[in-house]
Formats: sequence, structure tokens, C-alpha cells
Amino acid sequence: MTLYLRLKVKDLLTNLELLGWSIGFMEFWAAMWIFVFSGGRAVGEWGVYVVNINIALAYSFLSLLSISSTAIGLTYSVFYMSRAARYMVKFTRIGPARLVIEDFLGSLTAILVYAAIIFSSVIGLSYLRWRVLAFPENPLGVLADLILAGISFYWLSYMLALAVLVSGRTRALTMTGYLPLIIGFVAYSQLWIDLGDLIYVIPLCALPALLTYHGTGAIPPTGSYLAWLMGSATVRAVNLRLAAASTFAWIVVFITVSLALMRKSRGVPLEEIRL
Amino acid sequence: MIELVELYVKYGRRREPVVRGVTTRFSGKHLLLGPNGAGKTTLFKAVCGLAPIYSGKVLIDGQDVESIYGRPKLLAVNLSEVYRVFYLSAYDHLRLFADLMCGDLDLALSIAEDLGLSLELLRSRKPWELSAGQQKALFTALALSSGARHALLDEPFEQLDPARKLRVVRYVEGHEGVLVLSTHETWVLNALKDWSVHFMFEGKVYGPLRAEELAHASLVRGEVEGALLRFEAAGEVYSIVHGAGGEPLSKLVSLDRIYEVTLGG
Repeated sequence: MTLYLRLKVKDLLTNLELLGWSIGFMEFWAAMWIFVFSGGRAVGEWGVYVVNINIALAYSFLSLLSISSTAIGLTYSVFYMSRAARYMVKFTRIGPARLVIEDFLGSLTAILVYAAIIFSSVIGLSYLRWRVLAFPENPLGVLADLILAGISFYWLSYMLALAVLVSGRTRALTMTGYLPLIIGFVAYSQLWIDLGDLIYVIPLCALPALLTYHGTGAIPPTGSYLAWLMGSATVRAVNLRLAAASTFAWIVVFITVSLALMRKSRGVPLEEIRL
Repeated sequence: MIELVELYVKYGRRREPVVRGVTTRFSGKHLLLGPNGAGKTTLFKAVCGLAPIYSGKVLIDGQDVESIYGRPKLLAVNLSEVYRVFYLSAYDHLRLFADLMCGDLDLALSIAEDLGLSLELLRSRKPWELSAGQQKALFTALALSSGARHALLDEPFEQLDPARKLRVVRYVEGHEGVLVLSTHETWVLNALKDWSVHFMFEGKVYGPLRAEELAHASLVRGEVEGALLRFEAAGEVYSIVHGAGGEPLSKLVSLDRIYEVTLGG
């Protein structure tokens, strides 16, 4: 592991603001979810099944919110290091491609550590509440989904930071920087709202479906997850292939636009970082 | 060697150029003397490829700066903005850049210590939590320890006490390779007598002259025949002449005084 990569991970994992919003704040909501919003007891096979689904929903949605909070920090860090990045790719041994790759790998590592903390605490808190160890039905699938989420939000952040740099509208950074969290909350709204086919179109809204599927083994609906959990509404099953395709498509869009912005942005600090 | 060819730098199409038609070469030890706002820092940024070049070229060892990538040991600079990467300590930044620039971390720490930055201080503060003088000392230490063939030191004496200024002088005298040091302080003419001197006023570079020649030169308003150098500042023509007859350069303290002279100060 190179020193840049190590320091990138250290930077993201020791940043108090990120720790506060991506971990502290999410832990609060994890506790609220388990101890305040969730009712019932895990009695009988059906009771345990419902608790398992409830827990899968908790770690799926809260991990996504945590990742989208981290993405705000990523947008800012890409923006603020842009001048240093330009100098580094020219007059140090890191070079443009290596800088992008190491920055991506370091950020993804930190994102996954944050998501793992949220995941573990949801499992732990739910055990305290119901004495049920609700491990995912398909742990590797959940890990793959979290990696996909990390990749998506990293490149979304990168694209947004570059868009601000290229357009020269630095005052828009605050608003633009929060877009990942807004997108995270749109996905979160599916707990109550059924977005229907829009989940395949709205950026990253298909991620909860993939996480829930791998977490529970059940094919989730296109929205209204809580109603689905309670069995109080008729919902339409999600098309998992389309959900995965949508996620991959958005990742491709974010990476492509980022690369285009890198090449187009003559005269701004990040212009020289090209693959 | 750093070569500037008809270089214009401006921020935004409609703005006036900050660097205006500069053509010069830096191949040894050079002082770039000019008042604050003359364009010295922008010129350095352009050499690093950080400022938008409107027209002209910057060549470093014959290669256009726009096409340089992944070249450690070619150029180092002490501008703080290029060393802010993470929300980590000054020490972490120092070791990161010593690593990336293939520099000497021990030498960087030793220079930093000599300039008043203890290891403990570097470990406990982020770069931007250091005072302006400490930041300047830190990044000067980094540039001087990089082993780069070309080094640009922007106002390395600023905010330093006299004792530390003399230490910086010792380090820059001993530095191997091309070194361009920008400052608005004229006392350096006496301290670095064998260096070549360029003046910079309002985006234009004049010179070179030998620092030795300038140690006893004076500044006179207007055109003087046989002057060592003539330049324009604040709409006036000035001449730098041998001997007395005007304001001795070494007594100006700072070239910012040029404008006070213009105003009759």
C-alpha cells in the first residue's frame, strides 16, 4: 500500500466531521430504528422472519445514507485538493492515472469501513433488542452491493466536484456538494413511497432493492418497503436485473462525465488528471 | 534551465494580464525583486503549470510545462496551496511529499527544525494551523529538500525573524541547482551578492543584473542615460544608476517603497 493511499484512508477515517455525520448521526438513527420505530417481538418463525427483514432494511437504508453522507466529504476533498493534485501529477512520481486510482481505492476503503460499522451496529443493536442474529442471507451479495454503492457515490462526488471546478461556479459547491445526500434521501424515501418504474431511472434508487434482496433472499418491491414489511399493501416486485443494470448504467455515466470534465477543464487545477 | 517565452498570464478573458510578455531564462541562482502585486507569485504559478497561460510558453529543461507529467526532481516550489491535500498534520504532509517528490525527509525535518518547526509541532498541527511564517518555513524546507533541479521560492523571508532569515540565506546559498527566489526585500542584494537579479514591476520582468552591482546602486525617477536598468511603475519611468544621486536601493528596505517615492514620500 502506497503512502498516498494510506494517508487517504487515514484522512477519511479520522475526519471528525465525517465520523460525526457518517457514523455518529447514523448510529443515532440505527438506535431509533431498532428501539423506537420497530415494534413487536421475535416470537415464532414468522416473528423472526419479520425481524430479519426489518433488520435487513435497516442496514440497507442506513448504510446507503452513511455512504451518501461520506460522499459529501469526498466532493469537498476533491475540490479542495484540486490545486495540489495538479502540481502532484506534474512534479511528483504519482502521475495522473495513479492519483485517480489511489484516490478512488482509498475513498472506497473508507466508505466500506463506514458501511461495515453501520452494518455491524444494526446487527448488534437488533440482537440486544430481539436476541436475533440477523446475518444477511447472502453476505457476499450484500458486500458486492455496498461496493457498488461506494463506487457509485465516489464517482458521483468526483463528477460534482469537477463540474463545479470546470464551470468556475465555486459558490455552488455547498449546494452541489450535498447532492449525494439528497440522492441518498430520495432512495431512503422508498421506505414509505413507491416510486414504481422511476427507481430504474432516478440515480442510485435501485440500490436498496439489491441490498434488500441479498439481505433477505426475498424479492423486494419497487417501494413502500415498510408497507411491504407489514403486509399492509399490495406492492409490485422489483425487476432485479433492471435494478442492477440501472446501477451499473449510472456508474458508467458518472465515470464518463468525470473523464470528459477532466479533459475539458482547461485552465482549472484538475484539468491535467486524465486516464 | 527555465525559459519563459513571451509569456502572458491572465485570469479570465476580460481581465488585464497579470504577467505581460515576459521573456527570460533562469539557469543559475536568481533573485526576482519586485513590490507586492507585481506578479511574482503568478509568474511562479505559471512556471508550475498552475496559472492559466494566455499566450507564450514556459519551458523547463526544454519541455513545455503543459506537457510535463509525473516528473519528480524536476521542479519544487514553496507555495502552500500545492501542499494541502488531506485534513492531516503538517508532518503527514511533509512525509507524503518527501515520498512523492523522491526527496529527503530527514533533510526536510532538519531544515524545518532549524527554522523553528519542531517535530512535535509538525505532528500536532495541520499545515493551515501554523502561522504564516511557519507555513512559509515548512514549505521552503520541503522545496529545498526535494533534490529538484529547479526550485522556486516565493517570498521565503516573509514573516520570519532576522535570525531565521539568515538561516534561509545559508540554505539557499548552499542549494544545488537552479533556484529562483522572489522577494520585495532589498537587503538580500547585500546577502546574495553573486546572484543574478531580475526586477518585476506590473507584470513585466527586467534584467538580469548582478546583485553585486546593485548593492550600491540608487533609484532615480525619470530616464537617466547610462543607467543600469530602466523600468516603468505607476506610470512613471525609473532608472537604476550606479552610485549616489537618488534613493539607494539597499535603503528602500522593500520595493513597495517605489510607489511611495512616486507619491513623493
